[in-house]
Amino acid sequence: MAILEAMDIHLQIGGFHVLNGVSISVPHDSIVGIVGTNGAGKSSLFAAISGQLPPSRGTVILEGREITATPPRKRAQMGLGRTFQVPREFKDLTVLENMLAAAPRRYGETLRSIYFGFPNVKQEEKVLVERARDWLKFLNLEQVAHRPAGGLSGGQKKLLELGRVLMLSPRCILLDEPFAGVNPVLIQGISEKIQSLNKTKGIAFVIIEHHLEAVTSLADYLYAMNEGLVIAEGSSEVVMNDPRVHNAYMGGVI
Amino acid sequence: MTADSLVYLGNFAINGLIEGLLISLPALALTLVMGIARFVNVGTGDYMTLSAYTTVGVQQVLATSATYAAFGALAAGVLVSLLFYATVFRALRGRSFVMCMIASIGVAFLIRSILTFLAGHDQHVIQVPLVRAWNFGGLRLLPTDLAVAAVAVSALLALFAVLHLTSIGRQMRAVADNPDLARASGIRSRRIMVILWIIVGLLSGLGGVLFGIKAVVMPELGWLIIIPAITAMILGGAGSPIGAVIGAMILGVVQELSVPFIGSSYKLVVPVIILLIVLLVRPRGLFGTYSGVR
Amino acid sequence: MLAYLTAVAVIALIYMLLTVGLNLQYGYTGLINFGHVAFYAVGAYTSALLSLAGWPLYLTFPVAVLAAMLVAAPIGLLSLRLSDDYLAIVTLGFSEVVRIVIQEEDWLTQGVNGLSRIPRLFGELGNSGMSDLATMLLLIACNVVAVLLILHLVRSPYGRLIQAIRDDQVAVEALGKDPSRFKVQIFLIGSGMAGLAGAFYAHFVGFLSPELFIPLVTFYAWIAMIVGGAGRTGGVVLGTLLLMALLEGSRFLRDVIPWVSEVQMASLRLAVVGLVLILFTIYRPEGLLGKRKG
Repeated sequence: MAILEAMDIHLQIGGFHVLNGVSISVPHDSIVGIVGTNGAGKSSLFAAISGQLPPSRGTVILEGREITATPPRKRAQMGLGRTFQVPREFKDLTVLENMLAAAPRRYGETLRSIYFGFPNVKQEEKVLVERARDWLKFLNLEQVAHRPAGGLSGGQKKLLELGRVLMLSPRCILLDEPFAGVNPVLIQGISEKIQSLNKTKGIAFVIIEHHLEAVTSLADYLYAMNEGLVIAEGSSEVVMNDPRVHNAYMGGVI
Repeated sequence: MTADSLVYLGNFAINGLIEGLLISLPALALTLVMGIARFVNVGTGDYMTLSAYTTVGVQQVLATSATYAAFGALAAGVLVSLLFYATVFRALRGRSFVMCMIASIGVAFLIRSILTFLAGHDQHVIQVPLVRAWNFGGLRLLPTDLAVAAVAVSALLALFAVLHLTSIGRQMRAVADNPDLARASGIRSRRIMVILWIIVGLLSGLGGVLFGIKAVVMPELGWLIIIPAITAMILGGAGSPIGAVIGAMILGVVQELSVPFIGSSYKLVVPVIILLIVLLVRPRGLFGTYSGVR
Repeated sequence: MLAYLTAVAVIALIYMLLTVGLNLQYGYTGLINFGHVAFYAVGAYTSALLSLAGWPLYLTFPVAVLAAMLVAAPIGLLSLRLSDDYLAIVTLGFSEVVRIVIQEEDWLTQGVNGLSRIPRLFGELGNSGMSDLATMLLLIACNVVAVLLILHLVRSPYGRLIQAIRDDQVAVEALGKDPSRFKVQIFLIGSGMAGLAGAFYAHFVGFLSPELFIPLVTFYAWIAMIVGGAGRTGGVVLGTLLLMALLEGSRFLRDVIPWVSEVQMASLRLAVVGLVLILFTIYRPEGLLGKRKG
């Protein structure tokens, strides 16, 4: 059974058809990659899946429940996390505060609780700080925990975005170009972390990436897109050797 | 509806059309800046005030007709517009809309403070030949108003000719439509900005003179127009020149037609209400593409 | 001398309350509010009118705060649907509409003639400086309480989240949280503080008129906030002190340069406000106490 399915997604942006019937399926505990030239519709597919842009046709199903009409916020609460192509860190908050702001909590975010419910808030905060620090340790970000997030390097910001999403205990994470603009040393590190999360926590990943080497070695299953359609799918080897894929990318940059 | 009340409303409608034409000048200035520099220049109103005062000043000092004095107004408009582009808005390139708008409010205050410091708070009048109104069975039309309208229309036609028939105009429209693409194709942005602010100065200058002729010249002249002008821009679609004109005409007529019902003091409420309705129902206005909604 | 200093301190503390509320909205949550003076006016007039109708001040003050929040509610809801830039324009227009309503509905507010003989706070302490002193002490207490409450809020998870909303609202939503509730609550709290400041003003000065509630007051609060450093409560205190230095200092300047009339001094103050807005947005948007944005 798939944890996430997008079926026959059609999407228009300003009259332009960016997606013309795309279907992908993400099995539980898998890592799925999506490659394609610029403008193939990859980020638009993410937007449709995460709910930022409603598709004109098609359905999105998360863990068996249809979420096509669910607002993005609710999808996140249901376990679907996403990161962004250009990191959206909370730049004037510290790294640790970024993590804490992301954490779902019962107390501490209502006026009543912060003025009249200190004990509950403090208790919950203690638990969440510990969880946040654990994640920061895993992501090798603990030494910058108290630095304003705006001052991090590109790669660190991507890791922080991942960390924030992890505070949600997601079941499936959409990663939009996690390796873009990241220095090569860090790419290996990020790759390992994704794999570790996948194997030990059973989190499914859908990764859009232009860095072919990284994504093909990570992904269990690959989709190649071009002009709003999936033109090939299968294991990394199969897809990267597919003549249609070569054709589409001749002269284009993957 | 009786014929009498039709005539009664008709007079307001005529006045509204003329006011609409006048509002279209600053509305155009606003929308061009919005399209190219991506912010609302609240100072536009006070450029108009400055030009109106300049006309009065030139007329008093040189004892000429309003027409010649108006050239002084246009020059003043262009100068003040270029001045604040060079000293303020150029330095704020790329900054957020809010920062630019705050700076433009600072510009507005600065201009107004200098005017009131030098010329006080008295009202002044631009001398134009006094001609009796024409009367068409109750519908009154002041020849002065007609002249004002004709000048405004000519200015609008000239501007649209520049925007659509000259290469610089085409480049400006290209930058407004898609700044990244325009940059990539090598359109020289410095030249466009200078031309933009010259046009803004001319439009505000002319608007100031015409409003000064139609009403009185006082320090709040521009400030009273800026909110209707902004509404006209948004109603027509921010960034769309034709939208600014049509939005201004519609606003002018609706504003005037509301006077018999809510009184002239409440006139300023009409643009705010229309602004609210537009932003809630169709934020990109009639012809615009920028939606500005979450 | 003491009486003068006390009066200055009271006005300073009123502006501080006003600016703390604005800082909560913009500095911490990123809400653009160019209509702050409207809620100041609502608080002032509500408390004044109720007290003139015989209500005791310990009742009129809370009702004034509630009235300000009530008027703020629709704007707060509007802020959910409008982008920053358009919210700025709408709030500016809204504050002018409020001023016009106050001006026109003179059956209630006495309009341009002004509302006079408003009961003074602690008036029962007599006409000597005692009532002023008591007012000042109460205001100090209010400001301290307000600042403490806000600091507590800002350091809590709630405060973290509103700053996250300020930094990147889209990311907050992608993390499963709804910014709407927070934005509306913060907008209401900030406006309530403006209403409280207004009530203090009404019962200190004893006289209200619509001309006191022009957009310039909103921008006094903005420059106090910007100069001190938006987002930092210490900055607000510093900014308010500097604002008072400007407002009162200009009065002293007249003793030194007697050929400048009071009206011209008002123009100079306006010019300084304009210049501060321009210079700070260009050169030091993070304010005097703010950190340089990394």
